[in-house]
Amino acid sequence: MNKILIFLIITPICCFSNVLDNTFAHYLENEGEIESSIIEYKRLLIDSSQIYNTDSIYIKVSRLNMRIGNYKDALYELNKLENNNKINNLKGISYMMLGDMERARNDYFKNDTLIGISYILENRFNKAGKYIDISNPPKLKNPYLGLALSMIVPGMGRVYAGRTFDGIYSFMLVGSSALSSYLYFRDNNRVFGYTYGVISALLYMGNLYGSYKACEIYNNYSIDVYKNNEIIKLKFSKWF
Amino acid sequence: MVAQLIILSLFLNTTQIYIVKPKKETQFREDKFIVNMGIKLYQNTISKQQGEVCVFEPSCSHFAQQAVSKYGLKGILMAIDRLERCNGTAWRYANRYYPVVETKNRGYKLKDLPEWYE
Repeated sequence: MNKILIFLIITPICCFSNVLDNTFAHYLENEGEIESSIIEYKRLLIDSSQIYNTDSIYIKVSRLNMRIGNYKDALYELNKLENNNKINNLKGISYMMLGDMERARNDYFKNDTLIGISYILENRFNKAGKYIDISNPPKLKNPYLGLALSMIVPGMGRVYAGRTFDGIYSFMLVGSSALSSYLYFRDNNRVFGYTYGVISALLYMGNLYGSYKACEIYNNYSIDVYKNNEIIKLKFSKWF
Repeated sequence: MVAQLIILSLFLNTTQIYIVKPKKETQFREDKFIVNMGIKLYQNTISKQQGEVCVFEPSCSHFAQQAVSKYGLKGILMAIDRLERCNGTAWRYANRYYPVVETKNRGYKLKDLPEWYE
């Protein structure tokens, strides 16, 4: 009789208890094992579709996928849900991070901050300024001006690009080889004169190329830093 | 014997014969060859005497080798540009333009790849 009583009490407790809760998935997420956490959340979706609010788990899975850069997987999960403002934002962010800015803006974003961020990611800072408050974009260096400066004075283009010591060093290299060439020609030593002449010309051309590239790299670096700072300032990560 | 031949011919007719196309022979480029030979000569003579003095990873000679083999004439310009950047002051731009990496035998170096200057 006692055994039957115990059975009757324990069985319903076991059946309806919250054994399949999300504690372990949450723990994995906190430990930084996002991929394992996604698998655990998906397991919960399969095992306990009756108990849990499945929508919240789908959103969780898609957010975690977005955190590790699997935007296509995130979209796959989000497409299973009915559209609302929250889902639209997440879908828009996924499309935005996949590079489809137009679709994100036109079909999903209703929020000015997200529209602004999408313009920042496209380097369209003026357009972004219409939606959000952003600081002044960085002043960029003109690579052709760098090239022209290096044509006049070797190394000047690098100085213009913010690499003063590289500029001085390349000026010394080009200058010393050119001077050597001149001195050998003056002493009627044509072999060394031509040798240093060729070396000097090669160094000069390399310097022109380097100046142009130094300006480009400076611009890319400045834009990246600016974009990162602006996006951090706008707390973009809170949307994930 | 005749029957065997007939069977063999039938077999050959019915089965697809896959012919593996021989790989296209890459065109021999004298300019690349000469530059590479020069770099190898430098690596095996002067560089071995100097030790690991280059501040970058890959070192300037390896950078030049990679750049010339990938970009040809443009690679020569890239290599010269690299030589002009290879000095002690390059560490001033560490973590800004060049990430710092720990190499196997050469300690800490500044990472600088030819692809970045394409």
